[in-house]
Amino acid sequence: MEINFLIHGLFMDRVIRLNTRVQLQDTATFTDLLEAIRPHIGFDLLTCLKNGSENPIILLNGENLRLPNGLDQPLRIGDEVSILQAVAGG
Amino acid sequence: MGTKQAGAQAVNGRILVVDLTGRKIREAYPTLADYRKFFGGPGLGADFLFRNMPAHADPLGPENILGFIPGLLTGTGAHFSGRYSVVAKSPLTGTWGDANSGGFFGSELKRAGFDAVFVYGKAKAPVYLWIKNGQVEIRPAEKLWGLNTSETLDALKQELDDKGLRAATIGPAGEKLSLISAVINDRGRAAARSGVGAVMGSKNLKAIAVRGKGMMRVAEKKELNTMNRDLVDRIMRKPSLFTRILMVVFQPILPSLLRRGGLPMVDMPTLVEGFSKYGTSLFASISSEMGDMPIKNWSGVGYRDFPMRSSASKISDDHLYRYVKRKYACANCPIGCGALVDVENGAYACKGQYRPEYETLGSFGGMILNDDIESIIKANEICNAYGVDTISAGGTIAFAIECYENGLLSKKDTDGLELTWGNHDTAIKVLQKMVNREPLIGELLADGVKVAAEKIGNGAEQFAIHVGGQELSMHDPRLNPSFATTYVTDPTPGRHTQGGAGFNEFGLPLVTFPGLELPPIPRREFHGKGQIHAIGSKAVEAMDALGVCEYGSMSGEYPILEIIRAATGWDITMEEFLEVGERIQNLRQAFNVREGFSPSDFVLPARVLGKPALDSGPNAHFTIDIETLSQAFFKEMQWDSKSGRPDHNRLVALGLDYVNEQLYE
Repeated sequence: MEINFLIHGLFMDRVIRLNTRVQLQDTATFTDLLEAIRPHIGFDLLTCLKNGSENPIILLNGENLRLPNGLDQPLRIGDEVSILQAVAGG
Repeated sequence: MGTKQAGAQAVNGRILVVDLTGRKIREAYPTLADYRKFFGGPGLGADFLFRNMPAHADPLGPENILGFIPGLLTGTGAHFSGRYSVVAKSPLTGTWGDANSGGFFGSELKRAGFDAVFVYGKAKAPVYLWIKNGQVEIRPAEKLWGLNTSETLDALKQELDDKGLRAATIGPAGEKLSLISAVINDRGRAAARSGVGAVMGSKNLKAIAVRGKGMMRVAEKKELNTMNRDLVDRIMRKPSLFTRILMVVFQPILPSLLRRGGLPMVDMPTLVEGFSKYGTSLFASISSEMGDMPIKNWSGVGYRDFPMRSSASKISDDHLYRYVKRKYACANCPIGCGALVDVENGAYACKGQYRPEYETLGSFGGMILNDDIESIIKANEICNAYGVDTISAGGTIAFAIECYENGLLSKKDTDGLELTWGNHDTAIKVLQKMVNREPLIGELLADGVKVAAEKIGNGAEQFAIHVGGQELSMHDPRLNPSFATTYVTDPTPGRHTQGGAGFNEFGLPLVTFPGLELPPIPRREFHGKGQIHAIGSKAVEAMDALGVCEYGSMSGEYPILEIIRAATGWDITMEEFLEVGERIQNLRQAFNVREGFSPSDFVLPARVLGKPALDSGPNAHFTIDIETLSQAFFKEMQWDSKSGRPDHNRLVALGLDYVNEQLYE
């Protein structure tokens, strides 16, 4: 299945933005998505989320995905996952 | 304050006190101990106002004292240290008022020979102050009255035959005592909050023009220069060669690649490079999407009502960057987050205007569902020219739209204008009327949402988003709840730059120096945040008093104690640094208590607290426990939670006995 994936913000002291589609197995979870996008973003976000070194807003179709339970969240065809980290303020 | 101190480092050792009623000018001489206790900026300001202004003074009357005070480090050449503060009793909130600004005015004032200018009384006719190399004149300003801030600067340069002078001025909004009016320097750097522009207008003071050739003496010039160089090396670390190649190759075509979703890997600039290029507009669209930027007068959801893909991205970094003509940096800033923009054609054509900051993108963007970036540039131009706070102005227009939508305003009230969401043409027309106080809608909205709601009545207050009269900044506490704490507990309510734990919840601590690392903290918890909020609050006050930009401290690399030592010769500890901030916070708070305010006067609108909670989006089903958050902060600050009064013994320990005399009589 295909998932829309978007990551924007400050991660690991770098500004990252990526907007792409990711192919996953039909039974994939949010954790599987994080594994799949690892080569695209160049760092292990799953570990960062687990150890709390990164604390972004994670949205599944516009609603909060809370961790750690959300790691097992099953995904469906056409889902949109957004991972957003603050960069600036006024 | 006694006689001038010889050999003072980083300061001139003298301040200017001007009585506009009697046209009297005198100097005063803070001791070195005064500077060490309060630094400068809001520190010196709070000390001077608390001692010299009677309680319950009319904020727009002659008894109010208006101060212009550079930071302790301003003018020394230390990086990030170009800021100055404007202080007064706020006519917008009735509380302690302050605001600060960058640019070059603050450093020029110190070079002109003064560490502060305090003005009281009221001139019979419009005047301006001309301060040049230690000499001061009160000069007539009838010819300047009515000019906008940029025209005023040009006229001053011509009249005084000095192209290099700097000036802090008000525009027509301040002259007409708009309670949301600002003091503007360098054509578009604004000390915008607290309605300080109206205080200047109430004194018939159009401008303060400054020019100085002096150089501030510092204790260790060579060491300071070395620290500046090292700081730049650390914060401007170069990305890898591979990253640089990617940036060069992909950056020009990034938007189209993103739209097609086709970029396999993006490793963009470091944070500092991002700030340098985009300024505070960097990823404003993210703020909308993640629930930080308030949407539709705080009733909307960014993800749903102002989506990043279709709307918010149009007012964010890359879209805005297309208009940039050249960069702009404040005094002694190595980043240069500012820029000047041109809009070549169309209804909003303009040249050489400041790029809107994030707050303006929010208040004239998401708040009114406006994704037309050229109209936001225009709004920014109008606010700078007429001297108005963009946060309050945009928030007030959003309020008016919601009132119109709910039948509380009609075309009879709006001079025939149709106030609807996303209607940027109308928003600009309303703004023009506001800044000129034109009859009907302009007059109605010129003083912000609280006053407008009182005039409209019929329940309009429910749409007036403010604390204590001041419109809230563009950071939604339903995402990061500690912003709520700052909005209600800081002595200048409704502001986001006053420290606290909100930015720590964001993952971007506002203050983090070597020796004071404040960690990110969980967002959606209410307990255990008092200490970190208090430390953040004290540190920001101390930084403002130094005149250091918060983007310097956010870098995490700013060696604040070493820089203070190199500039002043003081061997200061982090404990003493925080104590200075605590002293300032206590003075600001004591000012409010003396005026009769208590914590119950500062209430967040139910909508902002999440009562009722939003039904969708990142902030859905969340209500803020403001009691728990603010009580923990009061306890940590040793402020009584009911009266707000600072603890007697703590005031003694901070050397503020004279405050006790007035609060504990």
